[in-house]
Amino acid sequence: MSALDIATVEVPALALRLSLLRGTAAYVAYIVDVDAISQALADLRDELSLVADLEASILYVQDAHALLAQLSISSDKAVLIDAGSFASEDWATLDRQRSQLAHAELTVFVTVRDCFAELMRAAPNLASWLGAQVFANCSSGPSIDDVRQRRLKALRAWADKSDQDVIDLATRNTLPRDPEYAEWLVLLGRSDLIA
Amino acid sequence: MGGVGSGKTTEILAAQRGLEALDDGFSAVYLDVSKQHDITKMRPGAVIVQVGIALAQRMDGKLVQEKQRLIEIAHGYQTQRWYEDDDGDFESVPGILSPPDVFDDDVIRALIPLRPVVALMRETRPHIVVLIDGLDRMTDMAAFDRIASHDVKALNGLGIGVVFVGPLRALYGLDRIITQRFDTYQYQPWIDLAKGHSGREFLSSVLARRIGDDLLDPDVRDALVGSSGGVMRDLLSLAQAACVEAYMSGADKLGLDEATIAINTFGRKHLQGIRPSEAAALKRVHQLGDFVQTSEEDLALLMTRRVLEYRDERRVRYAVHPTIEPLLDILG
Repeated sequence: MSALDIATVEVPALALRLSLLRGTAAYVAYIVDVDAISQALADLRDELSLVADLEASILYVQDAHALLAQLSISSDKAVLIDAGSFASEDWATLDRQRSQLAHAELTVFVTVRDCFAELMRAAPNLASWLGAQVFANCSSGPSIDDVRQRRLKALRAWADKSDQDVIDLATRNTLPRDPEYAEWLVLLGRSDLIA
Repeated sequence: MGGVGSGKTTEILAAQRGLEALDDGFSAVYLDVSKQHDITKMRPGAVIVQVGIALAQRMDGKLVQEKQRLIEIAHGYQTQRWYEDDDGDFESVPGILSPPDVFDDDVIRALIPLRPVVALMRETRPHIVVLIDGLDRMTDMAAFDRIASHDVKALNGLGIGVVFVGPLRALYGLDRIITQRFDTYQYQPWIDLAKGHSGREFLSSVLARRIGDDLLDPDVRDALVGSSGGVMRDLLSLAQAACVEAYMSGADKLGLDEATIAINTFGRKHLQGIRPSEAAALKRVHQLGDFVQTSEEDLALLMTRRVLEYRDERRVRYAVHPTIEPLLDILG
């Protein structure tokens, strides 16, 4: 597991997040293991119907051209795409022809780690549209709490201080002004101590 | 020209609205040439024929023949060759919007029916400007150069003003010579937050219009603005993600905790697929502010906005995207 892994979100929580984005034409990526794609697509469709009363179509496509052809007839449902086999050229095609990707409801790319890395390289515009809406399932990445703990560990090593040292310094209003200390207090849930 | 998410399309649409509002003499037509045509197969004539069809569609049923001719040129047609002792053979003429056999002749063919379309438009609106979006997605700079030197030149010859959204790579290396084909070019920059307060105030105001002060404290707004690196699209993405985090955590308002999670998530996504040489380049930019585009890999760092370039009349400055900065130590 890499320290830079995408934070983990399980399908029900992902569906809840997506319910907040319905109608916004948002683009989302969900990174899973290769043998979990079909189940993730089916589960996500079911969860979206349950938590958001949002109907979703699953598109099983081999490449970008097939996707663009199917998208044109997908009306106003959310679209969940099996993008587990998309290669660099597929992402580049979608990036170039992104005007044809335009869709009124949510578009979710369910893919695997290597394919997503290719997206980041070959499709800068699509990556930009994804924004921060990129998640992974449990076996592919750390939980959000793992992310928080890892960052705290890095900060402790950087400053050679403990969490309590930082809290004490902040309480006495003698904490250095480095932005890392503000981040440290936030991660400890003590943003109230930020001057 | 400008980087991904810099607002090029927004600006060009605003220009169209502005031109249309100037006076009755202006007709500004917006056209995304990538919608009807795969731009990897771009060739001279491809832009003109689409401009012609777009203009002809405004003719309210007039010049039907010319419009039809443009469509045929765009998509291909059958023509009949007559021989002395024969009834004639049909042959298929390929359209411009598909792989060509000849370049220059296609520009000429498209110009013939376009001229009466332009002439009729000018009877009511003498000044015609076309604003062409989508060509920024071209990666073949030689093809982009041919469009500039054939289609643009031909349209200018008809007295039509042309505004292009061009590819960012045309600003770097040997491709920079392409910009000389245009009377002028406008670079759509990122907002440099290190340069005075106006940039921060502008982005803060954009955020304030979307999320009121009762839901978002000034220090949280500052954190989101700072983490955007002056990229409007990233600011809105971060704010949206932070709002989702606030809802998921049951918070009454968007706090630093939620903003931090959104910023961290964004940064992690931004570093997916990074190669060791790219990681080294990012660290060098962060430590020294030093960045020289000598390879496609370097250009990719700009295109993917892992490195942000800030330009004004006097200087160019480079920085890594703020959401990546805290994660650089983790990179190998």
